[in-house]
Amino acid sequence: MSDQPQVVITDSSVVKLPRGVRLRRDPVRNHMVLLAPERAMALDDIAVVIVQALDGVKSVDVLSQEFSEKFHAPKDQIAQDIKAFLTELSNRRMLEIVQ
Amino acid sequence: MAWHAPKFIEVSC
Repeated sequence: MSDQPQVVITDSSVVKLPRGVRLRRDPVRNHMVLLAPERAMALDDIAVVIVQALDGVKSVDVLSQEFSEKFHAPKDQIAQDIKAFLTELSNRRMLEIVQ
Repeated sequence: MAWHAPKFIEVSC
């Protein structure tokens, strides 16, 4: 059992990558990797698009709207996918909650 | 590129 509080990402959440967490291309496997101290995650193309959009200014709701227009997909589905992904990042301490 | 749920693999040592 962990005493670490579970962060809840909502539509109004504004997040960014914390200091020390960076997106880098792995030249060996030619895919993008999110690097953090003592941890790394290989990301697929959509995960990379999401991470690159985390500017610490736009909310999840705004990002969902932008992606909905860009990918011609339902905003609700996109918001759900983004929140699930960001929750995974947060659980691994790879996300900073701005508000 | 079509929208899909983002996927990732945690790369362990």
